[in-house]
Amino acid sequence: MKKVAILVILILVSITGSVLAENNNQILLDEVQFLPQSPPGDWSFNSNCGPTAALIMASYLQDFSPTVEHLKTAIDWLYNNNYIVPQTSYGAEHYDGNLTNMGQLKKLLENHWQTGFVIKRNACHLDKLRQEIEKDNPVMVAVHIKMNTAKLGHFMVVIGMTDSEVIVHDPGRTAGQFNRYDLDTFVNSWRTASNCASLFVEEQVVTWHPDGALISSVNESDVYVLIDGKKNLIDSDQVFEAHDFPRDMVIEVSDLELSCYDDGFIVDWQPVRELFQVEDGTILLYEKASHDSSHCALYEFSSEFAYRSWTIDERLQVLTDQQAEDQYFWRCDLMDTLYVRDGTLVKPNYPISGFGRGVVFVASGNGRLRAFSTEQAYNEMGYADKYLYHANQNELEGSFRLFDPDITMEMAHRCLNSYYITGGSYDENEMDMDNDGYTVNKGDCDDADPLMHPGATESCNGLDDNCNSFTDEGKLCPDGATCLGLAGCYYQETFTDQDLVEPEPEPEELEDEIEPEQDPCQGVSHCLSCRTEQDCYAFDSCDGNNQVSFSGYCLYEGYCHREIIPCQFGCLNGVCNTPQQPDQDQIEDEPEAEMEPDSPEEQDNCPSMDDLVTCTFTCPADMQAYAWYASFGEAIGSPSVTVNSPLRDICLRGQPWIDFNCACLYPSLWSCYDHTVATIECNLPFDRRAGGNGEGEIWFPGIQCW
Amino acid sequence: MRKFQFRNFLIVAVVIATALFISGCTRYEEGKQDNEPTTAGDWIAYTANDFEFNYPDGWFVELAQRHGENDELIYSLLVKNTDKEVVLGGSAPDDYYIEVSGKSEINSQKYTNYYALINVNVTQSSEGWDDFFAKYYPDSVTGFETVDLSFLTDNETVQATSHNAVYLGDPRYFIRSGEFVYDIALHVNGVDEGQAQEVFKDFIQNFSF
Repeated sequence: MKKVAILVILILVSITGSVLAENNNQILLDEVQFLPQSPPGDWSFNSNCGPTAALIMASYLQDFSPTVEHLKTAIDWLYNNNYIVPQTSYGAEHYDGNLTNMGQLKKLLENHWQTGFVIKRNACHLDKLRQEIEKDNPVMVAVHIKMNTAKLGHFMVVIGMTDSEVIVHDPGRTAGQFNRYDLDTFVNSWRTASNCASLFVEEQVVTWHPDGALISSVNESDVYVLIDGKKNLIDSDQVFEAHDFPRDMVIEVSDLELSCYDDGFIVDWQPVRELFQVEDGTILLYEKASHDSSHCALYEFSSEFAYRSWTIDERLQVLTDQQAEDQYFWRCDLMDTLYVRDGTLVKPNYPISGFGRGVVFVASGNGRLRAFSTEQAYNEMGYADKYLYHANQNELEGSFRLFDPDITMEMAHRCLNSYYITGGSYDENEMDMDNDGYTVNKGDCDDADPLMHPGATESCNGLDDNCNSFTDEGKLCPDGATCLGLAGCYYQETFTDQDLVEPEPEPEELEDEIEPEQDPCQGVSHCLSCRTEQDCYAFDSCDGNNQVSFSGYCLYEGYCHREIIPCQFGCLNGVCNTPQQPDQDQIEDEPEAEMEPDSPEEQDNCPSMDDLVTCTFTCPADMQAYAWYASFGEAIGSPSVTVNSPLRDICLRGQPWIDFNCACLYPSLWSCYDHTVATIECNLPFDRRAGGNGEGEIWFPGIQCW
Repeated sequence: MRKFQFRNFLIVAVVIATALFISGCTRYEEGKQDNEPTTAGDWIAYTANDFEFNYPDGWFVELAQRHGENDELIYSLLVKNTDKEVVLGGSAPDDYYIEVSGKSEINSQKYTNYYALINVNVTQSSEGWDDFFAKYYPDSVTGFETVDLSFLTDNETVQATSHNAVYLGDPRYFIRSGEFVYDIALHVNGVDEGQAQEVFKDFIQNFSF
């Protein structure tokens, strides 16, 4: 008896298991109500599968029960708007309707039932179909009656899927609810009947893509390239090919999105292009606007990876420098450097500082990379099936210039011509464009900068951070320092040797303090925060003790790159005064007390150029330490490295500093790096800072190289 | 006697006009083309591969062949009175309608909705009528009755009287001949119904069951 019971249990388990297996990964919108396409009319001559399928979708999305009266109203709407005419068949009834197509049914959904924007897609991708079902979104498909390719064209509504079946409401049968077809049969019919046409309602539509994107309406074949936020029509296939645009990167967008861009120019020229590589490996692009053009231009690719991203279908010539000069350089203008081509998708295979590993970027603005903030943004903007370049550190470095703000769903839903749809608002000032919680109407004085909004902390940066109509108000700088607006806090008091260069917070401390919304320059002198390169300017400033030279580059850490140079002889015209022959009187006039070191050892040791500078940089055990100094020196060690060099060599760069970094050894050298994890010991006082290119720097404030 | 032959397949579906939905895997062989006559004068022999067939003079013939789900060979014949494309069912291609002066009109360069055509399905079956409909037309043909066609005396014929799903054509006859059942229907749109009926009758009379 016991054995029988066990057997029964095993059988039940087996049956249950097989049922579960059959329903594996089933997703079903079981609350979608069904209505057959007849009545009204009768089954003969009945052509109402289209409006009935649309009604099934609309009733679910708008939460009403579909009835014959609803269907008759829809058929009347199609007649009244001249989309269909009554059939002329003998025996056909008024409410037998007539043939409809996807374009008409899209209008029926959008305009009659006002479901919101409807996407028509031709793509034989079951995963995309499933994605819509998972979003609680039934999908209309153009197939055949009973999925039989030998039968008539028909519309059904997909309401569920399993690993092996599609579940539909088929309005062409009285018993058409929850009909199941195996996936192969379905796809065969779907593809044969309509090249996999589908309709679904998009509740919130993507209406923006970054510059460089190639876009095309789902309803038209015209392709546009986005430049400066405008859509520029590519005049013909020949023009498209001549520009080496990658065909597989064209993104289908809604008509609404197309209407969101102002018209730019018509791309109607077919450039003549040649590629060549010179002796140092640099690859250049020669370009003329046409065969007849007498003017030519040369563009240098910033890296081989950048060159590949341009997908230029020309043979690469390898030339000697002399050949390149003779053939190209003497007669062409040298133009901008070409970085990764705008619109290119790049996925670094190493962690990027500030982003981590696995982030996907899209290039935009010749050398600017923008990360997708979420996978949803990446998918919904149509990039999921586009070509993705995987790049290692060697390939990517030098292929771009800087990072721009991440692409968020908020950005994807904006509309640049002041026609806004998100949240039902049609007012730009009602939109929170920088995602800081404030709109213009709510007092955001710069809706492109998330650091600026009511309630934000005011910083010394020349901006009205808290949007109270006052700039840099209040006490924003430490004691003894003055806020100079854009140039940050400046110390006006006399410097001692120890604070000849105002010490900045240790990077570790700084990073601990940094939160995404915080200003990295807050409380830091000579610092200008930035989000893009446009926020930085190249300029020099001098306050009598230090010259601060801003290079115009925005560092990853969020502030403008600058060098702080102590001035031995004061300032002249905004920079350090460097007299050719120092006036002895002037030197003597320099207050001795101000130059005297505070520390006893420095009081005793005025360093000479022959003195050794000894610094040890120690990285974690699984990293390798690097130090760069003078104009040539590189020292490497694991996990630490010691620089032992005469001051004369350290000063070969004109200023006394050493660059350093810690590089990961695994999975490969430089697969990651972080200068902030290094500990440093030196025989001279030093200031530690974050430098360019993700490196750290130490400066010796007590050293005057010249 | 011209014969309509069957080889190596269980079900031969002769579905007029459905070839419009079968593109890449089909091959059409065109018969005589004409521009929209409704009536048939002489009957013309149509011969292609295994087929010997009669079609009305002035009508248009297409033959398609493909392999079905079980690798059986399936033939489709298209016989219509126009050389333009005819779309049947409820789903129209994107270019079926064009906008003219703000109104949606059929793209008459490519398509026509003035036509007469005949729909034939051929099924190999020895079941009685009840079992036949239950097996091959479930949830579709829900009622039928015996009819006596004066122009077709040697065959057992029923007419579908009620349906529960979309179907094409009126009248629609099911004609049993040997081990095959022929589902034959007439579909007329915008042309002379009476003349089309005459052609339909002659078509059945001339058909080589």
